[in-house]
Amino acid sequence: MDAAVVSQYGYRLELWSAPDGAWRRLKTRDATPDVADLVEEALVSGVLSEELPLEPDALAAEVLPVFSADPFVAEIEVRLEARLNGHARTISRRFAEGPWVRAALRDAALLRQGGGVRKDETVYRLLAAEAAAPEAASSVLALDAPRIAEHTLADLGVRGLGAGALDPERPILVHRRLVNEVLEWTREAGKAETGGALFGRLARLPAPLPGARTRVVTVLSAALRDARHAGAASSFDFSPAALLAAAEVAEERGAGESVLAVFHSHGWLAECASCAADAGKDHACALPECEPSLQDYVLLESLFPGKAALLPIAGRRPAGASQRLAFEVFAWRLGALRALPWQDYD
Amino acid sequence: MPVLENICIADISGQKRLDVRLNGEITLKHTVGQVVDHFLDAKRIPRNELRWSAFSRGVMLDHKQELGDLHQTDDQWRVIPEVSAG
Repeated sequence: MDAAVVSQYGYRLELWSAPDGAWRRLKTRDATPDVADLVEEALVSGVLSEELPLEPDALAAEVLPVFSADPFVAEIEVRLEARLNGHARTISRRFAEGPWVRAALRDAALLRQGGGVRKDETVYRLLAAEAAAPEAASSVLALDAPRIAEHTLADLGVRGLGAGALDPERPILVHRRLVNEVLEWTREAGKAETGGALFGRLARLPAPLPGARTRVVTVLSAALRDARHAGAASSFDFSPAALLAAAEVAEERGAGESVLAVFHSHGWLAECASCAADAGKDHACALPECEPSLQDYVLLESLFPGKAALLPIAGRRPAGASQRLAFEVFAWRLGALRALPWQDYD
Repeated sequence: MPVLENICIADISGQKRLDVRLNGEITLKHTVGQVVDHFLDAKRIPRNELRWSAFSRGVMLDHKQELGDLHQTDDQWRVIPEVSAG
């Protein structure tokens, strides 16, 4: 669907350092194209939460900087108005993060690798806004709303809800067998990462589940590994041929599923269960925590570019947290991937 | 030989889809690689220096092949990158 977008500012990411007390600008990058990403995420979040209709007659967006001190931007606000049958519904989302933050992290890492800054030097980022030329202030943006089918819980194969909780705006159900399989495969793989395809559906139920405000639910129903994917310590290569084969399996299952996500692990060792809680912050572990890496962002943005995408990761929790093997489900929320609660089912 | 008239291109999940009619901006003279680029641009999908491929009927299409040389039934594509998790 097309959105009429008014954005009267351009955005500029700047990286700075002050190695000897004197500020030095390291790099400048145009962040204006990132606005499209924010508008699409706002639309998808509004549709998933049912604050916005799935197929409006007209959609308009206004994008505004929220200044910390002009021209420095603390947040970018996206206001959306969707019209359906003469009625308007509006939402607002404020983004303190977006693609520019990942770009800044990548640029800072490259500067350190290339000797542009010292390895221990702090690199600061700032986002600045400046008035755009009048002809650039209005545009039409082609956006993709999520594809959602009408289903009942019975249609979805949900016989009973189990442990866990739901985010009121983004309820996620995960089949208990899927979770148990992923955790078992993660244990088996040890330091190496493992992964595979996840089948699932985006569905609108007749009524919200207990704990949810929206009828739209994301269901992850089954996991499929394939030997053509290749895992190693700190990386997992997804085979396009294997993902394509998984998509065919999803179709053959005849339940309206697709390869809705992929999972991967961040490693787990038997000794992890008794280690970090006592070791505290001084403990250095070679295994990454159960959080998306910059490479995981690249994975999600490339393989599942829709803003309804999920990124499940199995692995250890941050140091200091109670250590048991975790299965976390990350979703887009205000410009970044954040762990959302989920509930299992059988 | 009957020729393609339109192509439905999607990501692996089918959430991002683009219907391309082959009588406008894209014609039968365009190559598979050019159409993959068109899909990525239209959907604002960052290339991330990855190798992107189009698949039809379970087979990877040759980037250099012109659309006019494809079979009429090659009208449902999946565009998938070679990508790693970290």
